[in-house]
Amino acid sequence: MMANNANMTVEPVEAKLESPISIRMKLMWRAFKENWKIFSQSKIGMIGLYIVVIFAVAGFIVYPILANTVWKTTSLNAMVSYNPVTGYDFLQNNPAPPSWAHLLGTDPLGRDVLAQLLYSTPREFMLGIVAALITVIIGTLIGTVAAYFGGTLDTFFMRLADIVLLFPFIPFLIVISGMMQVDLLTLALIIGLLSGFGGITIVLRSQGLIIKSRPFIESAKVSGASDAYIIVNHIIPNVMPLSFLYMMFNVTGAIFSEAVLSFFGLLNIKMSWGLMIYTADTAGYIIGSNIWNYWWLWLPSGASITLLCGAFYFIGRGLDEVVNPRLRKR
Amino acid sequence: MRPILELRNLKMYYDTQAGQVKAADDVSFVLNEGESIGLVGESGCGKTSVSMSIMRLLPENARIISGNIFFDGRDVVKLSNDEMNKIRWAGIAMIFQAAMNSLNPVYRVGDQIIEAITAHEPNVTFEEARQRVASLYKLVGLDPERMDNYPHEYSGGMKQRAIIAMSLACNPKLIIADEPTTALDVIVQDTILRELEKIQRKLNMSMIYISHDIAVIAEVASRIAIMYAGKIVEMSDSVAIFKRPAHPYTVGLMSSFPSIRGEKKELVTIPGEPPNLLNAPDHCRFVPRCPFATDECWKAVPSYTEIESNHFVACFHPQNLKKRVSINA
Amino acid sequence: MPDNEVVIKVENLNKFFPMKKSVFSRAKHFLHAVDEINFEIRKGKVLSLVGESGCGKTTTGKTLLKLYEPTNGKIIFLGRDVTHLLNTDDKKWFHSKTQMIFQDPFESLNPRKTIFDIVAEPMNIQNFGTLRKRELMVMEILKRVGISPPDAFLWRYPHELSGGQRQRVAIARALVMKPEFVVADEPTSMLDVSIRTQVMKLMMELIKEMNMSFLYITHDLAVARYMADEISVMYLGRMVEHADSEELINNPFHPYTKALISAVPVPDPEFKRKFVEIRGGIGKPIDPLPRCRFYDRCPFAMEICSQKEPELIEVGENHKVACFLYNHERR
Repeated sequence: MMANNANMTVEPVEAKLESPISIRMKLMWRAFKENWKIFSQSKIGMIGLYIVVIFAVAGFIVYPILANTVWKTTSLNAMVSYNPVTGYDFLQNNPAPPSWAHLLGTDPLGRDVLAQLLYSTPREFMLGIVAALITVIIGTLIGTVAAYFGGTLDTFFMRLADIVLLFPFIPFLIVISGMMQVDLLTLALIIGLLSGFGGITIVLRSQGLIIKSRPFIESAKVSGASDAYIIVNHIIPNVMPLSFLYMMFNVTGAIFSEAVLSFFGLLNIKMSWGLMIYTADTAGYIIGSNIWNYWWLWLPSGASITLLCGAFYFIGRGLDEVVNPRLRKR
Repeated sequence: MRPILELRNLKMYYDTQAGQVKAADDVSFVLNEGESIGLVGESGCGKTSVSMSIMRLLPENARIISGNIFFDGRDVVKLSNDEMNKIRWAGIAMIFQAAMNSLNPVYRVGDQIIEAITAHEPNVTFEEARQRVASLYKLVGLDPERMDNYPHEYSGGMKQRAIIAMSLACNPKLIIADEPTTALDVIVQDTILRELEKIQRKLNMSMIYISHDIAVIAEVASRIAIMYAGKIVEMSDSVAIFKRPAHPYTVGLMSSFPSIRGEKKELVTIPGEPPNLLNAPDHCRFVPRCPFATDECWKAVPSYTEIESNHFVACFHPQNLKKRVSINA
Repeated sequence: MPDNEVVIKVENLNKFFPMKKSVFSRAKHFLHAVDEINFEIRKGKVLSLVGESGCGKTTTGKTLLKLYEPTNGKIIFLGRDVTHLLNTDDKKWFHSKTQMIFQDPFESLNPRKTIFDIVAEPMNIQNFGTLRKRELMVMEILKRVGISPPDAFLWRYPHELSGGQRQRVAIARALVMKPEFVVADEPTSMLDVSIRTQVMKLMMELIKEMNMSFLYITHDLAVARYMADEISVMYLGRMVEHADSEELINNPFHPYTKALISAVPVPDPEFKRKFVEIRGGIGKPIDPLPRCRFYDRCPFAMEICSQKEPELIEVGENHKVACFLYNHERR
């Protein structure tokens, strides 16, 4: 009989000899491999992943190495500083176009553009991921709780989500940053909170409603499971893939919002991609024909914003194919 | 009697990433005008694949490898898509599984049937089509007044009747009913089945009934083909199948069915599960579950033998032969 | 526990669902899904609830297991009133002794859990035994329901199993804590014919072996006849007939039961059934009038049937029917 059950191609896992923890690790690894197989077939997702990896390597590995070796300020090159915030190159007129000393040129304040770009990268990552994590945690919790309990609680959070959705997001952030000192972490928190109560709860709630109506929920209830048990053990694991997918889209949103606010010079931060454009703009280099004459002032940072935002979005699209089997190619 | 449909050694395979799935393997049968045949089998045995091949409504990864399907003298396999479109509805109509959900909820039921008529017969005027729908409604036991209602105003049984009316709209010669009553309640199922049988007799149509429920088929079909794992394993008129089942699978099916009539008999189970059709083996496909299997069964695919007139079976060890002799004698 | 003990007893059970338009408006209409149902199941016995979809049989089962709060009536389980379970200890006690098997083996198992997690879940929820003990019990019950070798299946996911195997896993899960009372809601209707008989036989063996009481919900009288000791026929929330299963099949009283029996297709082409003609289709019991619910469709309807609701009366030994045709005294 077993010979005919060709659908059972999965190798049996030895149960008795191993500890439950190692079995679970194996299972997770197997699930990861299966999902990776699907994800890796999505071209757009892989492009996104490559871009993200390149930025991560540049920001988290290349920058610290450069900053501690080539760019390290010594008495020999004291006239040329690569500090992204306070550095100044005394040996040339600034802003200077790309040269061997400054691969991407210098900004109007004489600071190295490449150093600024690389210095900002880990911060952009942090901002995007922290904001998205907060969004997804709030969204998942509220979405599943609202779906599970329904009634007034559900109505309240859904109307709140409607209000947040209709909210003028960027103007609100501008007002907030005018009222208080907003640094990167605060910004991540604000963006995370705001979008956490918004559209994502609606999406995750409807997914939660689908899962709530499936018989395995009743099956757990018959065994005496509490509401908290059901939400934690049955509903959340089943909306998780969707949450993860939305997290990728939210990273994009957060980085983008930061760029807009920095461009208006509203954030209390040392350096970011948006701030680089702001600096160039306020010094009058992004006006009229100057735009093309001083391209190194805005193109690297602008392209980085576009690329990184796009990359996370692409990863989201790739994950979509993992999460929604209907999108998969046969 | 003139044959209306003839399948000759039809092979329909699916190409999947894991390999070839032999959904219909060497399926042959002849259906005469005014006759009804029932295809019985468990899910995944290929009965729907056969009907989809006849209608040429195949999914992208399915291919008819070889064989012929003669409908009214023409080979459906070789027809162009345009010619096939003419045959669908007007020549062969189909009642799909859970068909009542296929009515469009935003159009009146009558209009949907009228549209089906005018799409295939452009010469028919709206008034004529409406007349025809009214008479079809009477035929299937619906009140013609209900033509102008929307699907949600119909009950499940009424929707199924409307779907039957729609399948009859272009006077097809053959109707394929794929699990026509599976989603319905017992009493509604019963009335619909009787209605279908009556209509079939009245219009002298040919019918193919497809079902997993051998009792339903027994009610309506004059001939029965038992399918197992992509092959027809036994075929005969329904009385012979029920009184003298020859293939061990048929025998097993009969005795595993709980009956409401007569003495309460012990149920006999068929051990194991139906095989996966992926890379099917070169021997009898029932052999791992068969209580009568011998070495011979593991070596070759049994061919069809006619054990009595018009009773074909693909088995090396046909059962109930003694009983048959005594009946014939 | 004596063998004849009543395990579960239901007295005048009602479950009405309010028909609401929005969260803020008050319900004016009620769907009488379960209306004045009475029955009892003894130890080791199987009662089958039979009826068409929408007759309230599933609601009855789910209300018994506290998936719905009963509107009124009484449920007595092992001598204790469990109609409203308020304190945690009572809940724990009740839920460790009752279980349910669902219709759809594809939907009743969480796709993200392994077979071990699924089968062990009732023990996890109830905090029963050590991990080691749970593991042994899971293996033992899996083996018993025919999932063997069990250790080859423990760490698989439901989608790697066939429909029949999944339903076996669902049965294992329900029986792992050796419940006293199990509700089975059409457990075989989604399975293929040959698998269906295997699962039916397995359940019958297990009921005998573990001496459980079963409420077997089905639309198929033939299946009920094989599974159950007694059969209750339901129509639009009311119980219309109740008897021992052979008695009910061979000697039905209520016109609806007769129609139901005559509508079951018989796997014998030479058998000619007598048809009991009934009109129309099944409705919905929303604010039902005080009359026989089968009145509109009944071929024998009389004047009295439209004036009041018939009560269940004894017409034979353990054979009750709710129909004025047999209700001579009160006519």
